[in-house]
Amino acid sequence: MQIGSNFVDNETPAGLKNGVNKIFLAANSGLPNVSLRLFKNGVLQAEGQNNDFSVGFNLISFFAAPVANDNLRIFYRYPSTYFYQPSQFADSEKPVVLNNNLYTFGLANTPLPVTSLELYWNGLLMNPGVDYSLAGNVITILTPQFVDIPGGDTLQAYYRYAGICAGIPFYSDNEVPVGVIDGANKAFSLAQIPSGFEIPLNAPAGLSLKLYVNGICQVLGTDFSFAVPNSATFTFTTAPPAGSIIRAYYRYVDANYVPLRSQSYAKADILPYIQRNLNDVGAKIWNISQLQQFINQGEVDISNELNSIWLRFPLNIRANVPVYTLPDNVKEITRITYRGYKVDLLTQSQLVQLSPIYRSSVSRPRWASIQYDGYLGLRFFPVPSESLPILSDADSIYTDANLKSECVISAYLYPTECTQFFQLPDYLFRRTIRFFVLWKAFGMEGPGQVIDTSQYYKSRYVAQMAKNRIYMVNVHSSRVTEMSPVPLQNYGKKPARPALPPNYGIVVQ
Amino acid sequence: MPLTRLQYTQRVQQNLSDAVGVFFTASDCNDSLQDGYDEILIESQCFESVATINFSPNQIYYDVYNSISNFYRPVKLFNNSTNKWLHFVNSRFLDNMRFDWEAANSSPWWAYIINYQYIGLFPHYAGVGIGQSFDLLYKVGKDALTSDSQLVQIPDSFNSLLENYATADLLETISEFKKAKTFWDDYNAELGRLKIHVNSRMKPYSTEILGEI
Repeated sequence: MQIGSNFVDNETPAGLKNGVNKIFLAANSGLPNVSLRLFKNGVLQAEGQNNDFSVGFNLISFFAAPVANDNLRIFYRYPSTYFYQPSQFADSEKPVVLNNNLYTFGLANTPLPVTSLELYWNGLLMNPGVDYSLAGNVITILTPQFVDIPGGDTLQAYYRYAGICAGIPFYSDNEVPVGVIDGANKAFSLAQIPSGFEIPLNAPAGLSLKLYVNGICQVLGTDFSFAVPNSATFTFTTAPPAGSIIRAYYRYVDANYVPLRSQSYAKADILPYIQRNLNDVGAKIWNISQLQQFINQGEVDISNELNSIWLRFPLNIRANVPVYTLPDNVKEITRITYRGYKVDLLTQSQLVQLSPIYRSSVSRPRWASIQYDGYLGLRFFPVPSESLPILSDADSIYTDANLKSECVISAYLYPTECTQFFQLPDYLFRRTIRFFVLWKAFGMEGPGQVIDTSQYYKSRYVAQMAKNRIYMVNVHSSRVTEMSPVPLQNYGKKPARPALPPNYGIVVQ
Repeated sequence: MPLTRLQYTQRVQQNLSDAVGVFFTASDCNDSLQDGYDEILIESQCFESVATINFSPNQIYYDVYNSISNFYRPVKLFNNSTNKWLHFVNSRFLDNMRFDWEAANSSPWWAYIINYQYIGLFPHYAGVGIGQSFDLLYKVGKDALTSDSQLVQIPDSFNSLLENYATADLLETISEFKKAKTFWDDYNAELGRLKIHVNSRMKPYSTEILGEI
């Protein structure tokens, strides 16, 4: 299953640019496929046969070998182990022609926010409102004189759409940098400081910025640079001509963002604490990326055992569609509420006993099963006879605002590795993570390997996890098993002595 | 009288024969004291508190963990609007009562503990007036020690508990596992006594009742 994403920005693929070599390598061997955006001299390249390049694993194969002066830049995501998906991504989507109108196109999903849509015409970024308009998921080309699809022009769309919860990371889309465009001014500023953000946690700022001048992606370090590191102000090498259209897309960390308590500890903040416990404050033995990897693994392991993430999310129900794919990070469903009523989870065997025609019966769903329809497939019985679109957001889902018009799933989830905050109760996470990291760090091959110490911390981790499980069980210890306060009223008293009726022993004549 | 963080730091440094903080910095000590304090609070549940939370219209599930900065687990819940205690039950009880309990509107009678973070109410208010609230009696799970003068909320007679934890913890960081074990043993024994103390403290008449029986 596809699980999770880390972001890689502004990478230069490795390979010889000599007009002969056509093979280049991306640094991460996970994904780069559909999410890969390859810019050659600022123009987005098209992937696939008869286009510009093809990609497999981390191998990028050009059909025409780049020459020495070509500038190559790639942006992509690659999978992490688990992911708490704040948004879903549509990558390299070819909009489909609607109603045989060659200037009206449909997207598979509605971009959310609408500004997240990056639409490329022959590799050049199009300008929303000028070159095209967007209504829902329908794109209308406003400059038909340029776009000739039958003639071989290509359209590619990249955008985000509704995920299961709002939150980090934050994006700035289609932003107009502030600055005078007069052919002389080179200095411009952005609303936020673009960041590298997730992985690595200390990635230099600015990497995630995609800056376009007249649709051509500019190259960081060549076409523009940040005068001051970690700032929102950048300078062009050559001043953009008057009338240029400049647009910026980037991710950033919101300084005003106040995380919830369960997310209030940044993974980066625990590093000095871990290093002190390893007696390796200067990272001379264990490098930071190794420790980050262990911290992430520790969080996943702990969270997996303790079911630390529970949340509700809406399901987009479509009429006559029986099977729905749950988000990748769903671990265990605790409740399904369909228009206010509970839907019971059954096994397929139980469904068969319930009705021999359960796979085709159409009505309001009363039961559901997560067996035999793929690992994340949820089948309803009866098959929904109506469409219930998503109405709630991450806050209103915990109210009854849309409860009777929506299908809501409550579930435990896997944590993500690529957010910067922990998603564990703060009263137990730090020492537990420490034991895990020390166990792994002392156990790994290298100058810091001490097997006995590693085993010692493993035993400490196991013992701590046993305690943690008890802590989580104790959360429920105030639950009562009887509903009447009578047991409390009688607490400490002997059972009442049976009182005999006053006529006991009198013979009735 | 409870000790401050600084007093604990001094005691730990004396145990380690490091009174001027050469081998272990104040930051090292503070980390160990905080870890120990977290564990003692949650193990013994000796620190209790109460918080008032306003009802929100149409709200079924309340994120009490993020509403109360030191929340660990709920103990009792009192509806100030109806002057009634709410019973904590499980989801099966609610499902047996009503298949659509999430949709039911009225004065809450029952509460459902979902996990360390969320509590669901059944029924729940569709609309609430000003000041309609509930009191949540809860156990404290986290008390961040942010300054040297802050008092550590552990009963007086158990002051050595945190001292032993921090000493053992710091000895572990320099791989002195045998030395640490001495302090761990003391810590565990003392922690057991504190747990008994906290439990018996809440039942002042238990001996008398047992005597009657």
